[in-house]
Amino acid sequence: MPDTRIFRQFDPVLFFCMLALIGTGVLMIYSATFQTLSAQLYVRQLQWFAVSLVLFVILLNVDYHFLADSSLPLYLGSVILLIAVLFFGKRISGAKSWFALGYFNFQPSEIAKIATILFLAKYLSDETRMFLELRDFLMSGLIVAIPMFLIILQPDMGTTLTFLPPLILLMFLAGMRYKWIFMAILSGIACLPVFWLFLKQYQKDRILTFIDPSKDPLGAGYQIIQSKIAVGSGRLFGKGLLSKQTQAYLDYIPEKHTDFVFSVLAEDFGLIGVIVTLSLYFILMIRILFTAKQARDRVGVFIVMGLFAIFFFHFIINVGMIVGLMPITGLPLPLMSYGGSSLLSTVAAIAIIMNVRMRRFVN
Amino acid sequence: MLGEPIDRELIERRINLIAGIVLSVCLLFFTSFWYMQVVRGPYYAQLAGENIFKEDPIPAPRGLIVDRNRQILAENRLSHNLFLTPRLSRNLHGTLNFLSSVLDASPEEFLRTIKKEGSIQSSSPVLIYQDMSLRQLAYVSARKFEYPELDIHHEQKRSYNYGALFSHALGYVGEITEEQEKNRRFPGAVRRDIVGQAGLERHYNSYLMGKAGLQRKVVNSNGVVLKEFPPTRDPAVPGKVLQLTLDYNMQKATDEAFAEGDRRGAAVAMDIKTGEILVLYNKPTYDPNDFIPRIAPAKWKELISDPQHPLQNRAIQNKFSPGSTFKIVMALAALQEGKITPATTFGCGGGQFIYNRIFRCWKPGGHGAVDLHRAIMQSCDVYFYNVGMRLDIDVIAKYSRLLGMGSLTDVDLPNETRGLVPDRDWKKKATGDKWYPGETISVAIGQGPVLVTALQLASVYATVAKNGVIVKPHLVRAVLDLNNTVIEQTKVQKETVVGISSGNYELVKKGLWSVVNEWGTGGKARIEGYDVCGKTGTVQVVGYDAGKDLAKREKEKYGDHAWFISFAPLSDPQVAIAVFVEHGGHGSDAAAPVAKKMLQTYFSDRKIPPFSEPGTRMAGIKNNRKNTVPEN
Repeated sequence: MPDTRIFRQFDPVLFFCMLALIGTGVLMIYSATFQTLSAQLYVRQLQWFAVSLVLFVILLNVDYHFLADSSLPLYLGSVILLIAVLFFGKRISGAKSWFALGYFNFQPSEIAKIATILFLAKYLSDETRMFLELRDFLMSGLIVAIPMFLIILQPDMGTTLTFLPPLILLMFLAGMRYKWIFMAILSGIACLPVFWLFLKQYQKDRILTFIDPSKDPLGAGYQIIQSKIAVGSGRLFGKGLLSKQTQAYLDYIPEKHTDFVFSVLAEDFGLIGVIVTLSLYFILMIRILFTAKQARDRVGVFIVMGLFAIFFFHFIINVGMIVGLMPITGLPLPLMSYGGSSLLSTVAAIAIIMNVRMRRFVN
Repeated sequence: MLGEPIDRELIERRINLIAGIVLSVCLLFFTSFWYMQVVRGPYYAQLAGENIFKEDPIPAPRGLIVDRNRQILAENRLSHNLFLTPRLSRNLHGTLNFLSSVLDASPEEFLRTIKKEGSIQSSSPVLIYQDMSLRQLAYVSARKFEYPELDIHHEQKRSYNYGALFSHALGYVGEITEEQEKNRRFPGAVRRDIVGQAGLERHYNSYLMGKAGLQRKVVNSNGVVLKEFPPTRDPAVPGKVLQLTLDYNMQKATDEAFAEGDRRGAAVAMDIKTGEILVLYNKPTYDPNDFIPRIAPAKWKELISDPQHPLQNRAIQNKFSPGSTFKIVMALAALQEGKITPATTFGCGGGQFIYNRIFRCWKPGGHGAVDLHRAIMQSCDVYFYNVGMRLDIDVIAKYSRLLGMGSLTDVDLPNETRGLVPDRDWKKKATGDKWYPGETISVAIGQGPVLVTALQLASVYATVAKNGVIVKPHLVRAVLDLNNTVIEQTKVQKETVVGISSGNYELVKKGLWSVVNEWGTGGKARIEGYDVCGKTGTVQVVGYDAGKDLAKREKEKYGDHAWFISFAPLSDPQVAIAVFVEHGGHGSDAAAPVAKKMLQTYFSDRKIPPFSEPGTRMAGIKNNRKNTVPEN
């Protein structure tokens, strides 16, 4: 029997923001693809939305303590899946990161993200610990490094990087001194040249054209330039939904329904639409931070903040790319970009976050 | 120690800090969007417009060129051009190998063309082969579907229906050169435009070229056209039709006459009343079709290194000594200045000592006692040496200029030359030396420094025929629109020579009549009933004494040039003709028959019947002479 008392703590604002952003996403996917060969993609997205709502309801009813307690098997299971995908996975656009399961494809790295955060949160929330020790730091690093290593083998650089923000954020909340955090970040930056060696040529091109897009306006710089033109030409009020004179409709924007969905929004609805949507994201993220502050216990705080870190990281990278402050990485915009795995894991993460809030007074 | 003591307060403090970061990031993004969409919005909107709307030029068909009877001389034919979009290629080398098996170019040449225009990754189409033959077109079209990167465009290309026959008048077209573009030689023409590069095509380019239209399209990023707007706002304006004064039949007759006896040189026929040029002919010549779409380098080299200069429009661009044809200018000057009368007689013994030098007559035996009429009829040199002694060079120059020598006729073709009328000033400027009287004697028979073009001589004789009316020669009769309605008609521009009385013209004309119709040098131009008047001329290419043998042995190089200038009919002159035969020998044999054939065509085409009683009219003139000119 689900405990009905917990639903009094259900966060309607957070829930509304989530639904509004998913809805906007579906609308933008439709706008980006109508009258093309991919015109049915918004229906697929709605189907994924339906599936994710089911998952949402299920996850609300599972106590997050149970999830935290079973995080070790979850973690180990996802590591096994990550190893398996290297052997049996399907290669999609260069990376062997998918399991083909008939009707839908499924990315084990999405499960690994959540499992790793749960496991890390569980590990760090040991109430007997008074201070963060070097041993804890190294252990946390190892927990995160294993799935990262497996994912970089696929190779999927973008997803690999998403494991770092939760680690940094949880170390921060676990009381790591600023001095050490800065040193960790500095040593990370010092490692960047080594990192550069592992990048593929197209990834190097992306970063180089981020620095100077006009260098190759028809090649790697093309996406950035066209996206900027789309956004800028939307001006204050936008060109209107389903306008036939948009960059998106005319196919100028690549990946317009996935990574560049926010450009479609900016072009159709202008700065007004951008303000509304950014506000929804802002409110959603602030509600998540409230949830973390109000969490009953340390493990709740760490789970919420770990999931928040991934969400915030995607948001910064994706929108930053749209406005030209970040290089192209291929990371989707959570809740709005087309893609089942991304939508499912984001909704699941929000479900777990709301779960923590709902159980803040429950014994 | 790595960490602070963990407690609730620390965590909440640090979460607040993160909330601050979230707010800052959102504000940063808002500012970025505001900058892009509001501050830079208009700029990006303009870029978006260029992205979406593409404007392609719609080429304007070039105007036709027709002869005076609206026979088409230059028109446009369909040309099939092959374009290749490198980016769409699955296997570029395979495609190029296929193409080189069909078209006359190697894969390397194709590759060079592609790289010259862009790169092998370029997504814009490159013109890689122009003007495929129908057979090549069929081959390529049949297999086009295997090669998505290929595209065939059909384009209008200039075509000259009679090849070399009208080459020097029409000229040819070609792509505008970088220099012409820079100098704005052709206003309104841009890169890749086809413009006139020679002849009338060049002179009347602004009429013929028309104006390219603009086709507005909505295009997506793959270049796929989503919508085409009707080109109503900027339709292509076709070029105007140029109706020439040239007469196809006469031009053809001229060509045939030159072909007989393997002549080369130039010929001009001109309507005396209007100045309309009926024939503008040169030989050797070239085929303007060789220049379309562009001339092969080997062919170009061959044309410009040919010692006979086939590209030159001899009739207006080359100047020659007028030879004996100049004698009528001498006669008019002397008559008008009162230095001779028709009855003035000089004795010709085949030559005469003047200024301690012997000046020979062309007839070694001499003409005996010669008056003006016989002097013109038989082209007696000694007679005109004596006239030359009585005239100053500056006076000769004055009358030459009065009749239009030494200046441009202003015909509507590029690069006309003005010839040369020598006088004391000229000599001083050209050589720093003074004029010697002996030189005047040479000028008196059209040798020495005096130089003319064939068109100038035709014009001088036309002026004499009309008793001193100079009509400006021209090649374009009218500009027509596509419905053959006249838009612009060329106006006849006349000018009257002041200072030569018409009686003197009549005396000279009578002499010119007898050249052809009595026992003169131009008998080979005689047409019964049409009262052809004319004058022969023979121009020495090498010195008279030293060169005689040389000229005989190597006629091709040193043989005399032959002139025959004529007009007809005497009583109502309609047409003037100048024929120049290079190294042709005597004017009487080499040039007069050509003029005869041209005149015959003129009269038979216009169905002008012969005058029934030529004798009576001549008798009238004879009487006239007897009555008006006192015997000396």
